[in-house]
Amino acid sequence: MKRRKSGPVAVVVADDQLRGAQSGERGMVTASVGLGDGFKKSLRQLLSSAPFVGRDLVLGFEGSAVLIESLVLPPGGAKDARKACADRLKGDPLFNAEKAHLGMAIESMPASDGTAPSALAIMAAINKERLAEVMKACHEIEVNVMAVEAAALATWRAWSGTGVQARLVCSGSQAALLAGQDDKLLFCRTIEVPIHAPELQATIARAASVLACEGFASITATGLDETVAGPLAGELGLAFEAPPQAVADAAAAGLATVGTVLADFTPPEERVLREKRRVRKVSVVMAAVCAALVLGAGVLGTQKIRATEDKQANLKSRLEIVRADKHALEEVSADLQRDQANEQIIDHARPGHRMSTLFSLVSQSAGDGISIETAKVVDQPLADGKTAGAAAASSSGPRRRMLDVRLNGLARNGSAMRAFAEALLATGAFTDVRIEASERVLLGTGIEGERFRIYAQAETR
Amino acid sequence: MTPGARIAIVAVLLLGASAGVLYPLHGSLAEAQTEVELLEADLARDAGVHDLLMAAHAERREVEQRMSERAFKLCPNTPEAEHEVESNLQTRVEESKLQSVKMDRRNETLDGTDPSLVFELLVDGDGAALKRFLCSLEEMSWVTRVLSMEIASGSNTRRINIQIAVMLERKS
Repeated sequence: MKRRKSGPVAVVVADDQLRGAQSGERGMVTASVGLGDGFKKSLRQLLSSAPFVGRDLVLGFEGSAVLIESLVLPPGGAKDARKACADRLKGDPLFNAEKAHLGMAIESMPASDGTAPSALAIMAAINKERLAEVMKACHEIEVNVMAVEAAALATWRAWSGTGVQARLVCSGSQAALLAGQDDKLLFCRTIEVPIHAPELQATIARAASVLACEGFASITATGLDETVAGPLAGELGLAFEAPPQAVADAAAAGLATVGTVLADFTPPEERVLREKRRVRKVSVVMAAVCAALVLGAGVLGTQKIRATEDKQANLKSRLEIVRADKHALEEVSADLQRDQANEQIIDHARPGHRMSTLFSLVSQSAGDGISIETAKVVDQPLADGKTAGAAAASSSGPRRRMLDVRLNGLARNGSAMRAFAEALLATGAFTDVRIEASERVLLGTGIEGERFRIYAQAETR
Repeated sequence: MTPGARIAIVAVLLLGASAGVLYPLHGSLAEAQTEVELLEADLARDAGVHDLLMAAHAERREVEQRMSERAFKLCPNTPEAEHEVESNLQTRVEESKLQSVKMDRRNETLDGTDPSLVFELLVDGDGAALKRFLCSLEEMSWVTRVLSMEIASGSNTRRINIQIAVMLERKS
């Protein structure tokens, strides 16, 4: 949104009326109201009677509350200008030091005819009581008084000109003759209305002498009725010209125009308040910017924290899953180890032989002449020089084992015994068959026999 | 005090207040980020766990498949299963026409590594009955092993002492 650029509202405080003006993008806005209902009410009416923007005011006093004088200071008297002005007002019933604020502007006079340049003071005094009354009213209706000056001095800013100029500005019950060079105002004096030609002529002569010129060929006049202007010009032998731009109210227009304020009468407390307002305004702007930045950073930071916390929660849930996986892995690994160990047990421990077959082979090998009294079969691991456990751990298939078979019995004779042993060996099941002992014995029936002890080994997996 | 100084003081105060508001936020953010980094490090360290788990599952299924395809299996290492084996063995003794005199049972670690249930049977019977019993024993689905067999002297019916080991599953 584009902000409208408008200056402060210029308010000319005359004896019987208030006149307002404000320059903006749409040109100059003007209004005027009478002072019949008091200053406060009139000011409210003035501000609401035209589309004025903002609550910043520039006040310009004119009429009986203001005194304007131009003084030519002696050479080197610029330093004591204030004293000279105060001396000038000493004894004045309305504008003495106790009753009026004194303001002045010191200008240097242009040098002419070999004379040294001298100083000129334009002195303005505003009645303290009137000023206080106006300021109080302004405070009460909460407007910001940006500057207070003499309206007559401000009229010089209403339009610009070049070279030596004289301007006659009439507004209401007061007229003012201003003279200056280029943008510099060097002379100002108020004139009673209706304007009398001799007074005006004397004032013009005074202005010419102050500006050190012989006179003015023409005077730019505004606010002067043509019925008055014609005869007056005739009497004075001067020509009145219209200003380069139409200005209905030169005082208000000058106040509304930005430029150098020659004498600012803004009360010190108002200046303090203005500074405070400025500090407050800057502080509020800074606080707002700061708050916006903090808010933005806070929102972004909070969002970032929330996003990080979401990520954290996500990671935690993933970590939980991973932990569950780890736990499951431990269980599955344990189960796997157990299953592998069980599989290994089956591989290692499952006999590589059938005991029934061995028993059959022994039974079948024993012929008619053999009687087995006792038999003992022992299945034991084959250590191979190592411990059984180590052997078990190192081997991958069925563990090597040795079957020790011990047979005690009786044979009809030695041949039958040997045939039995050879038959055992011939089965291929035994790696070693040995007749450990044999002796001839007499059997109960008177028949001789052979008592034997056979040891056989069968290696198996 | 000049307006510039007042504005500067306000600016400093605002700066302090902003820092006071934002610092805890910064702390929380830093804390959260640190924890996220730790969690990410933990996750990165355990990145391969899932694959390991899948591999372990697959390997276990293979082992179980191989085990199920075997003709013999290990006896569960539980009292109920041991009791069942004992009953089964007793039945087989009777079916083989052997006369059971005594049957003892004890847990033993065969060859120092393999847990087993060792039965010591004292039976009476002839050779044919013993042969039937041995055949019957070999038909059992559990891995069994005759550790020793001792046949005492006698006429037709003899006393036979048999030690049979039934292989037990290894406890996890």
